[in-house]
Amino acid sequence: MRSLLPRRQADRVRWGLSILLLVLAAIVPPASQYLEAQGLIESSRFEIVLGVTALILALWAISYNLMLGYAGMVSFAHAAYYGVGAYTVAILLQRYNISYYAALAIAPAVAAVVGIVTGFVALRAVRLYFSLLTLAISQLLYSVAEGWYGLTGGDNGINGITAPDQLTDYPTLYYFVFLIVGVSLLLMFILVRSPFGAALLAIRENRERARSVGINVKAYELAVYTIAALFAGLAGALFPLVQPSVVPSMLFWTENATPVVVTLLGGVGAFLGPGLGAFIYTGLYNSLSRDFPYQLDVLLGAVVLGVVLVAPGGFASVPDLLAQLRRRIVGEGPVAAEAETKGEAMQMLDVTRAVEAHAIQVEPVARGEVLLKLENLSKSFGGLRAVEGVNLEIHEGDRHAIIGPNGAGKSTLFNLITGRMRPSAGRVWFDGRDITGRPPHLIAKAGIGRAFQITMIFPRLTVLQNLQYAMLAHRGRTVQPWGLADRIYRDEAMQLLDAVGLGPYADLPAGQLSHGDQRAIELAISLALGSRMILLDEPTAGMSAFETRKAMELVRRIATERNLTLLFCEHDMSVVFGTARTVTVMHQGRILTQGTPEEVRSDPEVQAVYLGELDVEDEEAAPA
Amino acid sequence: MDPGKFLLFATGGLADAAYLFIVAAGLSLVFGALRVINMAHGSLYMIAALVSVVVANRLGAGIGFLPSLIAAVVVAAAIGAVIEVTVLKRVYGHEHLVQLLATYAIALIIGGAARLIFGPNYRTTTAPVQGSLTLLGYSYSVYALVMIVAAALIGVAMYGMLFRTRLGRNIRAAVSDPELLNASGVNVTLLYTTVFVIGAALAGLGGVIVAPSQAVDPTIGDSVLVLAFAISVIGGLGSIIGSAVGALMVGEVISFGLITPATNSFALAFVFIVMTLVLTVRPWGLFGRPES
Amino acid sequence: MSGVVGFHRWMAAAGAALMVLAACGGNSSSSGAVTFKGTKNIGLSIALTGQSALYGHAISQSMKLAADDINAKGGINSYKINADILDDATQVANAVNNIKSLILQDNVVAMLGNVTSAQCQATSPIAKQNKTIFIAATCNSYQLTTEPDLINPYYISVVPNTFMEGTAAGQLAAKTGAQKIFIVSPKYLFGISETNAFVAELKKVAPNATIINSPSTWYVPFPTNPRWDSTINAIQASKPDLVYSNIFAADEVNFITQALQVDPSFFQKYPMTTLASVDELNALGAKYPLGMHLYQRAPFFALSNPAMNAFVTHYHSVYGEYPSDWAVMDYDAMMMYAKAANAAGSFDPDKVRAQIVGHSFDSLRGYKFTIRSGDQQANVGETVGTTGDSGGKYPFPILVNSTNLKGDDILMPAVIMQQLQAGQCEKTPGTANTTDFSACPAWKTS
Repeated sequence: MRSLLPRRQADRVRWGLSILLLVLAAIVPPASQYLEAQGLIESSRFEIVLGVTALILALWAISYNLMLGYAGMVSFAHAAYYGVGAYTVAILLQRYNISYYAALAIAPAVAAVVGIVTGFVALRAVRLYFSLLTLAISQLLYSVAEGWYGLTGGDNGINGITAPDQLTDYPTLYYFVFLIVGVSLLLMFILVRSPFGAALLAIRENRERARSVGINVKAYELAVYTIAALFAGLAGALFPLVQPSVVPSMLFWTENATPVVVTLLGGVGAFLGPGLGAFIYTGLYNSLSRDFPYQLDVLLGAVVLGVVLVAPGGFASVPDLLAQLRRRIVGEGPVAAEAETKGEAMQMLDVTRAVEAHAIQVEPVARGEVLLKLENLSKSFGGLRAVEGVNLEIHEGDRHAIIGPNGAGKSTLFNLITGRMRPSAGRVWFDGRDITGRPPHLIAKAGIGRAFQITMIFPRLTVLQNLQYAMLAHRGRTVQPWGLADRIYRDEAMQLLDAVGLGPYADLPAGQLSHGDQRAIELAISLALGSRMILLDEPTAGMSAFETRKAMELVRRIATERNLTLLFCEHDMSVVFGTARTVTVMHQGRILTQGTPEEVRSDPEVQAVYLGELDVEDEEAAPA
Repeated sequence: MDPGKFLLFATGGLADAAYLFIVAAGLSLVFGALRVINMAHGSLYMIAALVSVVVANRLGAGIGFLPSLIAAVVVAAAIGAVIEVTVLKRVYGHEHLVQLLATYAIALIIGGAARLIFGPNYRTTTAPVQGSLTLLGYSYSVYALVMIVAAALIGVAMYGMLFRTRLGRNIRAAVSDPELLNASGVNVTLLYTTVFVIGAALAGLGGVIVAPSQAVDPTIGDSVLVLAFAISVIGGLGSIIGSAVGALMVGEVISFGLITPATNSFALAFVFIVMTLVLTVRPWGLFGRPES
Repeated sequence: MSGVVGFHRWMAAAGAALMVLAACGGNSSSSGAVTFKGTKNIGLSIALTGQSALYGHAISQSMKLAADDINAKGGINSYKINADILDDATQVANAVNNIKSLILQDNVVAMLGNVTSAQCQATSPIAKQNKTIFIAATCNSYQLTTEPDLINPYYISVVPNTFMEGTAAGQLAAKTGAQKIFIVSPKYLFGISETNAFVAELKKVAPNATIINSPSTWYVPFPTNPRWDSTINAIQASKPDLVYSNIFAADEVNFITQALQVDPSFFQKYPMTTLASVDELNALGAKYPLGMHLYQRAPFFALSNPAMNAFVTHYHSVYGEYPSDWAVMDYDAMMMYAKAANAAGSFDPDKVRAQIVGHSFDSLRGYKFTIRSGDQQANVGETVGTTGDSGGKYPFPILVNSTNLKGDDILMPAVIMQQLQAGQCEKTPGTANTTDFSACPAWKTS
């Protein structure tokens, strides 16, 4: 969903369209009555009822998009929570004679409870399996609705639900629903802009990275799942106002197609996108379903297919697509899909400024204490022993490199330390606490930061957001569901970005940067996490010699000024010798030897293991 | 329960398992090798069933069956090929929501087209093998037994294909080790199309086999699809044996579950409870292998 | 087969056109040269597709025929009547959408009822809310007119309700002398309602008969059930003397077809009492088993009288088929409305209603029926009999030895009706939707 329009203008257009949509929605009743009086439409009552249906659908779809667009979760159970809301109102009204307004307040709570319980089960699995689990859960809830005759009326459903007297006047009904939907949308909007929403976006963009900056991914997913279920339940609770009966088929898994199609039509990326889609869908459905029911299916399928293949961003992405088209016509040529930056960031790196950046926070600790201790650490995959019996002690302030040929177990070792993998045997101690097998986000919070071998950034977030959101997560601010995430820590982050040369690119989507510049972001993030120890997994991979020198100069300086402990693994020997004070050599999962860089270099065992590799390095160092 | 009764319900469950197995095997194969959730799988089943009924009725009972079988499976396979080449090729590697939506859209299109072409109402045809026989005091339609035998034969054929042919080896590699497959020089594009067509043909075969024993209309794909999902998940993606075991379980649960008062309301829910358990405890299914 | 029907349709259309022309071109002394003040819509949301498409087809044809006949006589209050028909695919949600569309968009003056009671249960409240006359000629659960939450002053029923029908079925079953009875019924309001009535009547007239399958296994999912093997096996396993069912339309057709595949003499071994109509007989044709004990609402071949015979000829000449029970009842419904609205001189729902409730109307079924106040139910009868060969007269079996039960004999007793409406008959007291006539004080003491 790259935007080719400059950020500001795209935002302005989107805001304008959103406001227009809201205004249009607000004037549906008087507009319909005016049109009817002019003889342009047959019945304003009908249009108003359609409008109410569209509003409810909008609420339902936007709540779905909380999960889909903001957290990247594909759920098949959302219709079930909608159904739960509708059934709750129906049962309370018909069986217990509770007022509609009270039922309206209770229904979302019931849906949320069902949501959190079933969501907990569903989130035992990830991605594809999560989706399948939601399918199973949806069918289970459907079986309950269909089978539990005493509670739900079974196949019949519950009928004859009467709306309260105040709402029999159609315009009043419309504005009542408009109010409820409006408030709900406002709440959801605040949520997605808040630090909590920032955490969701981080999860969507890169789950692994999100974990390593301290986000408990499962907890946030469960939270957004429950919130979405709550609003779906609210939408379902409004439903009896337009249709006085609820039936079990409302919970069938195929019913989820409606919010998905609506969201797709309107646009996943824009908050009100599904709202636009809801009105389009309702109008389309109504005008075609009477006379062309089968053609409607074919048409709907064709439209969805078209949107999926051509404009995955839905109608909200049409301005972008048109701009693309215009550029093509005007002859600016097809826009290259490559990066817009040329990797100059590192060249502009200002080490002094970086070192002083407020974004980098470190707690002072007494020098020389043992910070990280690995005790007989082992990891096996089936019969393969990736790491075996590793004992290692890293002291505060150390700069320690781990080297070894490919397959020596370096990355696995890092994974064991940061919690990405659980050891088969042995223990890991950090700052006196046993962190063996703890989840990655807790280890990150404990003070271990990590830069990954493969660049792990949040590609569709801006460079600035990458840094800001990492800071928000690490400092525990992402639990806050209000406030503007994009304003918090902005200055600090900008300062650091300027220092590492990324200042000019702050508002570009990180995925558009060149590889080297992305490594710079990676570095900035790992520095900003306020870690006491940073694990750098091949930090200079893919960088030019110049970039490498600059990056390591930065790292060294910060380590010195802020008393950071460094543990890194590297192939580039110049980095090792330039930065490390002590070196461990690994071979086939075991530690071969340890010592200063010079000791290690002249060790015949090490040379044998590295046969050919050190020679190659020497050849490269020699002038051509 | 006397042995005659037990046999009656067990066989009923087997007959259900028969066509469910064939359909689920196709879905599971496509799932496992292509990692695509094909929401249009039920539509292919439905179209084949409709075509076979229409052709068989046109040609007359008896002689009509074989041509109708061939026609229906060919139609399903052809539609499958078109889907794969025109749509799926474009969405491989995308988020699986995109694939879901694309195949769902195709399901809508096929369903609407089927209603337009064939009309929305039920059709029936007579079974190619008529007659009933009595075993231990209860009557069985011979055709139900034919279904069971047919499914067994198809299962054996699938197994043979997967484990004795080069194509099968490549498919298994696609299921368990996609990277190896890419590196091995096999024409992956063609392989994917082949797998999808096989899956579509299996869906069609399931539809043709079951059509004479029930009523057929454009909606029959919906309920089969969700059962096929459940079976594929329970049995394991990409596993033929898994699909067979899963189908057997589902078929027998439905057959026996519906007759006992205590389990009547929950027979179908039970299938989804098992599906949930499998997904939480062992997501790759009873006979599948965890993704590397 | 479609080719022949197509030809007939073409002929029928041509015939209809000629008739309309003839009507318009009549001499001035008759009402031939009619000028209408405008057009009014009467709405119908019906199953043109889906499980009950068999019925919807007949109903929509009959309604159009009725509209034409009404217009030929000058319309209603000098307005031309248009049959505004929408398809709801036998689904509840569609029926609700359609009725909203018909009432709010098309401003219909009256509606004919849907096919299934599930649909009527959902649409009747909307009709009530908008004060639209709703005439049920197909859906027939007695709860629709007596359940306190569903009572609708604008709802009129010209079809025997489930109480009446279940009672008739119970009497029919008792006559066969069966001792062990197996029940299969669609699990929704209609099925449950009629089955309960059957069981209650059976207890009265055949106290020694037992139902051999337990209540939770009586019901099968509704509406779509393409496979019946479980039920067929269950029947075999329990070896009943008689199978009672009220499954209908496509379900009945499929069930019979599949049972015959399992055992061609299935229905000789396990005779069946079931709801049926000319539509099911016609759908299966010669394949419909003989010796089935059927109860039908308005089979033309058993209700021969001048009005019916003329209608059969008329309908057949236009459509090339025989009018099914639904066609007959919906025609009656349209004619009733026309008469009442003309008598009221207005389309105002309250005024028209005043001309319906307590009044009597002609019926194609050969008698006059009266709409009683209270549940606004017509005292229409039910036909019971056993299927036998028609001797070549019709392409399907007809009822031999048939009896036309009188409406007054099977009508729900007034005191029961009143107690139901007063909410005195709830199985779970204080709980909606558990109304059951067998829980009424008056029933218990009878």
